[in-house]
Amino acid sequence: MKLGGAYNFKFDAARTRFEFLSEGPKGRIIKLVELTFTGSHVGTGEVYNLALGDRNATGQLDDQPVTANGDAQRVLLTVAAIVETFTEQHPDAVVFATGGTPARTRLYQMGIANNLAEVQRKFEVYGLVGTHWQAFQPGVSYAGFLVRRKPGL
Amino acid sequence: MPAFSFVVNPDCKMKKQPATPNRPLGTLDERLNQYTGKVLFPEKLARAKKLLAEVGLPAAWVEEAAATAKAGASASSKAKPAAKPVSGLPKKAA
Repeated sequence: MKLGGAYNFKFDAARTRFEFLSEGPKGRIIKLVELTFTGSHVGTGEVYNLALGDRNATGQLDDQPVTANGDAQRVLLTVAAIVETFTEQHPDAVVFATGGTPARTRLYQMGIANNLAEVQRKFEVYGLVGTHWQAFQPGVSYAGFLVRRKPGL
Repeated sequence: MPAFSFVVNPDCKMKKQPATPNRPLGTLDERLNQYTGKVLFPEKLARAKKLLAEVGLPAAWVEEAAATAKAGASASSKAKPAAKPVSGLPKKAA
């Protein structure tokens, strides 16, 4: 995947907690990405929830931030790079992601759709329509996404 | 005449390739280990768990996992012959 515009990031030993700095007109904002086991499995693969939030100046976490720092594309690219790093360490893992709001979910969807060929070279992507999962297709409105690394990649 | 000739153009200068990393740099930061065992965004995790419990996972993946498990089980049963029933043990007194 072409991730050249993404921010550099830091991760913990388990590669399940990630941190990076968003830079824009509102200054430097610490973004945290957390991948947490949901308790679900696909075969031997554990399903992890991807959550993105901010850490404010007082150290408190905000899981519904409206950062509007003018760098949504870079943040998206960074999240994609984080998923790639996470699945390198956890190759059987499935990542579930949804935006906190329909607008954010659309943003994730556009991010996947705009890089679909690149994404599908390494990952299988499913989208949630109503109560059914289907292989990701551009132009369909999804409520959430499941991503899994293709075997051997 | 040599079989292979190589002509060097002294005016030709090698261009230095600019650094164009195609992915960002991820580095280990021990400070982030403070979050081990903690859930930073519990509401988001709860929503995900609820949704996954309701809708499940893609049928294709579930079927594939079941087929893999079945194939693995049959392979292991072929590799290890079933244990013979133990005989010759003293019967329990009634």
